[in-house]
Amino acid sequence: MTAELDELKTMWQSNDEKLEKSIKLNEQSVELIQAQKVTSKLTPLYRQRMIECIFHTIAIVLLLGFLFRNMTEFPYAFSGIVLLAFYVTTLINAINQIRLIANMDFNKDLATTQSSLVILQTHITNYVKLAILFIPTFLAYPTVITKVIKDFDIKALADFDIMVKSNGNWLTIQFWVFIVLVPLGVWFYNQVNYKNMDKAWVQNFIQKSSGKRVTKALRFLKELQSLKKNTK
Amino acid sequence: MLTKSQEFTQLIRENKGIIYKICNSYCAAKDDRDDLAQEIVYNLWKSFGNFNEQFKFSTWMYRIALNVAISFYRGERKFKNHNSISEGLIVFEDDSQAENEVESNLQLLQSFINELKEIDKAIILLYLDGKSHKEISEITGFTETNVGTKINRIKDKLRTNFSK
Repeated sequence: MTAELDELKTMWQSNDEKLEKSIKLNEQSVELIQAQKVTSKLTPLYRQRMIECIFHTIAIVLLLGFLFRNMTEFPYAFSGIVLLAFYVTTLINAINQIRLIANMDFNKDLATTQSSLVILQTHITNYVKLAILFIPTFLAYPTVITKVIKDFDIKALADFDIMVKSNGNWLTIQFWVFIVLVPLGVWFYNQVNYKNMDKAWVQNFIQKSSGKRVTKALRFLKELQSLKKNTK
Repeated sequence: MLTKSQEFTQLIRENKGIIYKICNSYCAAKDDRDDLAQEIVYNLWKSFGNFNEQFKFSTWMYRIALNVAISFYRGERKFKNHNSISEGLIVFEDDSQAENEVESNLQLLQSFINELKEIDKAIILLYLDGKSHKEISEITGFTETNVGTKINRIKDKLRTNFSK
């Protein structure tokens, strides 16, 4: 069976008249749909991101309080700033997602709307990437937590300050881990990207950390972006 | 003078073929087609207040309907937030008759469209409906050049399939 697409196009359009006659719109169902309360289907996602924002903001406020009390002592100030950087970055990430949800609009063209939806769908990958980028900062937690316990004189643990107990070695460890791992983390953060979906290790990492659905979504984003990129 | 709601129903009635063709191309199962049709009408109604009458209704409708269909196809249906309506939104008045009248080439074409990737499906549906490259570009967000390239690739693919 052979048929040129242009012939098929003519047939397709002439079939439209037949189709118009053979299908019927159930107007009662349309009325029922119109009577339904209009809500955004992205509301649950919006709530999740708002909770994330609240959590990160609380962490930032507490860390600012910690920094205010310990600004003059370098080891504690350093650890506090490092953790602050982590929470500020994750807060910005969550705010960007909220902005994306607020601007979500099916009136926009397919490339714009579908790209935004994929970015929302692949949010988990951003967290995994940030968690890896900030691995060195996690060494700052014991410093900050033990100092807070000491400052607030929490009885059973009041005597334990990791910085004091380690004679400052903890700061040295923290510093070297930072120097070695931060450049690696930045490189990794930039590599794990939809643009690099052709690289087997990137694809494997995303699939193992975020699942097949996210991997498929990122491949779709790559396709959309390549079509858009060529256009502008 | 028509109310907003009546005006909407009239426009949907006039363009019901678009919803039917999109649902048929993006969903294999009848239940999914019914769900998608409802989801499309729900989203059209939700956005109807933003419809700018300077533009063609069908272009606006295609944008929303295809966006909903692609999201549905990609598994976003779990976000469905409105109550499902048990009756089908678009029904064949005489299913068997329609089946017999459909040209075999068109049936074959529909089955090939169903196998295409989500973006290719959207482009070929718009092309077959007689939309110009400019209109397809406005709906999809790709340039006219890219739309042209895509259409040629799909044509080649369909030609190969038809010649088998």
